[in-house]
Amino acid sequence: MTSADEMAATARNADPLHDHRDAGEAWTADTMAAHLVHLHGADGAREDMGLEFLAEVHALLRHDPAAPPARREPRRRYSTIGWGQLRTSDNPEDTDLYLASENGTTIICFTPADRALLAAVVSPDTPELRELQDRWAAKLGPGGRHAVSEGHVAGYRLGVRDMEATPAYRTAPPDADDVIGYLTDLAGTPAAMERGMLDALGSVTEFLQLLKDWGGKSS
Amino acid sequence: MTEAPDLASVTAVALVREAVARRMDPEAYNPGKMVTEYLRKVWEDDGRPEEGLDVGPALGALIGMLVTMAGASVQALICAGAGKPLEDVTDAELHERLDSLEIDLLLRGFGHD
Repeated sequence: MTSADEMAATARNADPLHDHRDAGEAWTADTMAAHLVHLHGADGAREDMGLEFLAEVHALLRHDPAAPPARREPRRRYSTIGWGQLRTSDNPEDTDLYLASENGTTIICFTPADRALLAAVVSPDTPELRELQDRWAAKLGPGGRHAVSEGHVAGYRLGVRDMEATPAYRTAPPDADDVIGYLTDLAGTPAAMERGMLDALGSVTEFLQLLKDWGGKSS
Repeated sequence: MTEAPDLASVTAVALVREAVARRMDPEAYNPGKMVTEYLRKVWEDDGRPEEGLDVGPALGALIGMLVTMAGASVQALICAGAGKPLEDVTDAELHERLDSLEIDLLLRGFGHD
């Protein structure tokens, strides 16, 4: 496991955002986490909390035996990432958003002005989803391959794709119709709908658990 | 014996229920506020200070996306069960089906590791 100290050292030595964004390279969890730590290095009050939280997420990603028991399910390393900036009508400040994914597991990092948040979301990886991905990638045109990937993380990707490709889109959150349209296509049968619902509910629950744990680190 | 669902599961179901009950209109429900309430409950139980508890709009938007994804499937299930499009499902029918769905989800012990 990469310790919090090692991550902090990495963050002090480089700004991976520019290195990887400019080169168009895939990000790893290491560089992504290092960048988040880098962002939080400007805020001493939050740095320790961010480091501790990221260390826990790293343990999760690396299937480290030291990870909390509830999170010890096997997961793969993240190898790709989307990124963009979100500006909502009631949030005039740009918010950085990073997203890394590999074979059905996605990590989303939100870095609003005063906090960092990471959420791990699990989604299935099946031939059917791959076929759907191809279809939607073609439908969405340039950037579509990036926009649609495994199962239920697609909603995020739609948002990330639009945020990257369409400056005007940065004035509003991703269009719910895009997400619903995708899922309606995905959920062609009641059984698939139910599975999709449970998967998505699982994402919400895991997200809330992460929020809860994150809050615990700050106390 | 069925274990009681944890607070995160109950909150997740409640968030999605609220979204579907309001027909997925993002102007009509506030997931960020609901999650703030969730955190307040958790933190109160743990005796933590509430400083910095409020969930900002960006985080609210992310939660909204998560909830939208789950809600879309719930909505589709309700329409399939009712055998008609959502616009033909009355509010009373919508709530009745949500009640059944919510109970079913919670009885499964949804969200347990």
